[in-house]
Amino acid sequence: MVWEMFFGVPDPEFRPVAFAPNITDFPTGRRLRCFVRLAPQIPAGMTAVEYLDRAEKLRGLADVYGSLYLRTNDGPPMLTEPDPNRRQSNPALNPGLMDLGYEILEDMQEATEAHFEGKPYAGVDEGIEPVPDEHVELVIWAMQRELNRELRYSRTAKGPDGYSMRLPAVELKIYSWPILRALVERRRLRYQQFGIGRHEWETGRWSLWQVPLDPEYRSRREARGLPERNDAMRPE
Amino acid sequence: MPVTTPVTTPTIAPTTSPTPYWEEHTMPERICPQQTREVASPDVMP
Repeated sequence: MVWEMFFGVPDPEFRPVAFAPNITDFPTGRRLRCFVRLAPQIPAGMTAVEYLDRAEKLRGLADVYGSLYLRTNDGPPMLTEPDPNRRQSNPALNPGLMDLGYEILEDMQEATEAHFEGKPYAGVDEGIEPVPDEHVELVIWAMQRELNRELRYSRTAKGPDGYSMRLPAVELKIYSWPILRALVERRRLRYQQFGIGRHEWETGRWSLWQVPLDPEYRSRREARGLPERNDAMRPE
Repeated sequence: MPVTTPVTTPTIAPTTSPTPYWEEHTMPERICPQQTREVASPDVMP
């Protein structure tokens, strides 16, 4: 029942696998990629596309995938102002939205390159609700909070004890305001590209059927040659 | 993606440290899947 509680998908028909294990090549297509991260084993003799098609036609399955939890983990579901006193974990995206997470991270990586290397970094002018300044501050605070929570070991630097040391997170607030604003505008656009806006945020639910099919889509991370990680359910 | 005019920032000359910035920080691209889903901060409105 834990699975059902977290992901809005009934157990035991849907077992918690990172994605259908009989898929060897991770597919293209925005909705299909979300689906295979949530779906159980793809039935024998059926392709992932056919299975998605069947899920959309069967009322029971269509309803399940039409109302999935947006957030997993504990923590207050909605924040409208920074809460610097909170030290516990905060909500994470549903694993089905792993690509959305990767896209936001790509934007953050590009913002970092814009700051340190002077690379161009465009915001979003059209197609999204305008982003107020206070919202930029809130989002940057929220993302920094999560960046600081867990740090990676250096590949080269050694600490005083001779062992590899953890590196501090990049500090977003030192980036120029246009970069921060562009990052938050892009984040809004990324959510929108997965069919998620204010309504989904308020209700805490998202629908697979609102994610555009976008059949050619693959994540920018994957396009950069980084491996698709089959570990959405198995954190490092 | 509809975009605005590119924003360009001046490059920060690495005069004080010979170590590249990506060796001095945990870079966003290096963080793990679980943390990736947390950084998206779904508790804050898109």
